Amino acid sequence: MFSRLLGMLSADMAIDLGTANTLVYVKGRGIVLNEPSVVAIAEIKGKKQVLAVGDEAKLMLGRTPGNITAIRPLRDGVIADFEVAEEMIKHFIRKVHNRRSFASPQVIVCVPSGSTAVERRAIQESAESAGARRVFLIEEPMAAAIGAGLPVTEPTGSMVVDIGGGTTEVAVLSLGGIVYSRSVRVGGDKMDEAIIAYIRRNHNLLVGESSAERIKKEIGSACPPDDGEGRMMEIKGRDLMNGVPKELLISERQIAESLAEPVSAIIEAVKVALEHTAPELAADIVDKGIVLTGGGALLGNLDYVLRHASGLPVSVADDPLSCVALGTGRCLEEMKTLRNVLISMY
Amino acid sequence: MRLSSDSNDQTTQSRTGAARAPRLNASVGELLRAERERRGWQIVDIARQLKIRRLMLDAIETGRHQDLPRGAYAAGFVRAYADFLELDSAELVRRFRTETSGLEERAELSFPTPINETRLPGSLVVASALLAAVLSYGGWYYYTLDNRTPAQRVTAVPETLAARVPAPEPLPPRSNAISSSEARAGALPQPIPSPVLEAPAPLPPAAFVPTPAAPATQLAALPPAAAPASAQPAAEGPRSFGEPQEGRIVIRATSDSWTQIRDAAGNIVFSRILRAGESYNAPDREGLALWTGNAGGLDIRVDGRLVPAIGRVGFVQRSVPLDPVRLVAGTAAPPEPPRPVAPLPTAVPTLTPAPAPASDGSPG
Repeated sequence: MFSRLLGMLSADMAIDLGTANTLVYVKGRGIVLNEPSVVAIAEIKGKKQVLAVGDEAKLMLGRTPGNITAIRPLRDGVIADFEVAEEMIKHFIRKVHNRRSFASPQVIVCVPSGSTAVERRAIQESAESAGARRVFLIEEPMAAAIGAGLPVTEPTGSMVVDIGGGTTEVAVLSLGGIVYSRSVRVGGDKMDEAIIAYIRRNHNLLVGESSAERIKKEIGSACPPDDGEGRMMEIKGRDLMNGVPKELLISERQIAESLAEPVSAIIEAVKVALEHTAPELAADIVDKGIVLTGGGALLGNLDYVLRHASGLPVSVADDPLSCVALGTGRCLEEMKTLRNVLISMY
Repeated sequence: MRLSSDSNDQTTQSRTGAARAPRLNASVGELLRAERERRGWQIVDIARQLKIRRLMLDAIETGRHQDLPRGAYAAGFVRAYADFLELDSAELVRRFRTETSGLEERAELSFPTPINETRLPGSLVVASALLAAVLSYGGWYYYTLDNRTPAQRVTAVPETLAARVPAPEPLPPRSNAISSSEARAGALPQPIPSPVLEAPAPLPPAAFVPTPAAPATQLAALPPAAAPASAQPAAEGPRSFGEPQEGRIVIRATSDSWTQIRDAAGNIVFSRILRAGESYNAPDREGLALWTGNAGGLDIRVDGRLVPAIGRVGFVQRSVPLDPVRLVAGTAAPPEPPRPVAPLPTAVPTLTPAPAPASDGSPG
C-alpha cells in the first residue's frame, strides 16, 4: 500500500549500468541521462563523501589530489565497488526525480549474460539499497537486440554482438529467448589498455586512460588502412625515459596494430558463437547477418573486419550506444508483455 | 550530399513523385544504384564484398522492400551499402526508413505464450456452479432451520405452581434500599432477582412474584388484583382449545407440540400444534387418546394437579389414553426407550407432584 503510493510519486527507470557509461531511460520520457560511470569520492576528516558523479567526476579521473579518488565502480560489466555503485545509482535516481525525496521507482537494470549469480545479486542489491522499490534484471544481449529493433520474438535466429565498455556479448536469439550467448571480458576498456600498452612499449610514453579513449575514438580502427599510415593524431603524455611530459604523433596504422589483440578476441567470440549455433538458426543468420551494438561498434572498420572474418553480412545498429538502454526501456514500457525476459534474483 | 548532383539528371525521369524537391525525389535505391554505376561496379562485386546476398542488394536498389528481412536488418544493409559506396549513410538510412515506414512498423514483440492447457472450466461455468452451490446450501439451511426443534426454553411455571416455589427467605438487611422497599413490597411486588433463590431454573417474573418480606402463605393468598398489571395479560394471553370450560383433564403445552386427540372410534377430535402456553381442555369422555410429537412439551393436569410427564421433550407418544386414573398413576404412557444420550440440559425440569396445597390462585 505504502510502496504503491511511493510508486505513484516516482518514475520507473531502466538503467543501462555500463562499465563506461550509464544510461537512464525513464518511462514515458525516453533516455534522459547518459553519463560516464565514474564517481569522485572525497575523504573529509576520515569520512568518505561523494564529490561528483558522471561527467564532472570523469574530468577528475586520473587528475585527483590525495584526498579525492575518482572511481569507476564497474569493471568488466559487473560491480567492482559495491558502495560506490550504490552511491552512483542513488545519484541517478535522485537526478531523474529532480532531487525529490520519497522516490522509490521500479527499476530494470541490465547485466552481462555471462555474469554470475553473485554479480547479479550485487547489482540488484545495490539498486535496492539505492532506493528502488522493485528491481528487475535483464540480460544485456536481449536488451540490445530489442533496442536495435531485431525481431527477437519471431521463430528466426538473430545474432547480436554488443561491444560495451567492459564486456562483449555475443548472442543468438530466437523466440524471445537467448539460444546461445557468450560473454568475453573484452571491450572498450581493454582497447584503451591495449593502446596505452602499445604506446608505452613502442614510444616510451605513458598516456592516461582518458587520453587513450580519445585516441581510440578519433583514429581507432580495427584494421590498418590499405595504404599509408592513415589519419594522424597528436598525443600527449609522460615520457618514461626522462620523466617529462611529451607530445608525439601517432598514426591510424599504429593504433590498428595495437587494437589487433582485443579485436581478434571479439572475432574469436563471434566465431565460437557461430560454431555453437544450431543449423536452422545459422541458416537464418546467413541471410540476415550480425548486428553490432554498443560503443565498440563505432570502432572504425570493425564491421568490415567481422564481415570478412565471418563471411556474414554485418551491420551496425542505429545509435549503437543507446541500444541497450532503449531495449531495457522498451521492457519497462511493455512490462506486461515482456515480463518473461526479465529476471529477478529473488 | 555530394551524390545528389550526380543523380539529379537521372532522377528527373524517375518514377517517384515529381512534385518533391529535386534533391529528395530520388529513392534510396536509385541513389545507391547511380553511385554504384558511376563507379562502374557490378552488384555481384558488392555482394561479395559486403557478404550481403545479391538478391537483397537488388531488392534495395529496385525498392522491393518486402523482399528484405524485416526490422533493423534492412536498414543495416542500406547503411553498409552506403558506407561501402562512401555515401552519407546516416542520411540514406533516414530516407530509407521514411520510404519503408508504411511497410515496416515498430517490430511488434509478442512472446510465444504456452497454450492454456488447464482443464479448469470457463469462468462462466465456475460462476454458475458457485451460484448453484450457494443457492442449494441456502435452501438446505433454510429448510433445516424450519424443521429444527428450537432450543427448549424453560417455560414459565404455571401459576398453579407458583405457590410451591419456595419463597425467598427474608433478605438479610444488606442495604437500606431493600429494607425501605419492604413497605412497598406488599402493595406492589417488584421482580427483584434474589440471589438466595434456589429455584431449579430462572423463572420469569410473571410466574414468580418475589416478596422479600412477605411469608409464603401470604404470597399464596395474594389476591389477583394485587398481582402486577404486567403479569395479567401474560396469564390471560394463551388460548385454550377444546371445551369452553375446563374439564378434568387439561393439556397445556410448555413448548410447541403437535397434539392430536382421537376418540375410541379413531375419529380425530382435535388436532393442532399447541404453541407454548396454549392449552386444550379435554372433554370428559371415555376412550379418548392422545397422540403427540413432543411428549415432554405437554403438561397434563387432572383436576388441576400435574400428572407425571408422559415422555421427554421431542419424544413421540402415540395413543396415550386420557384416563384420569392412569394419568395420575403415571401409567398411561407406554414406557419410553432408554435415552441414547445424556439428558438435554434444556429439558423441562420434571416437577415431582408433591402433595402441595392446591392453590388455584389464577385460573388458566
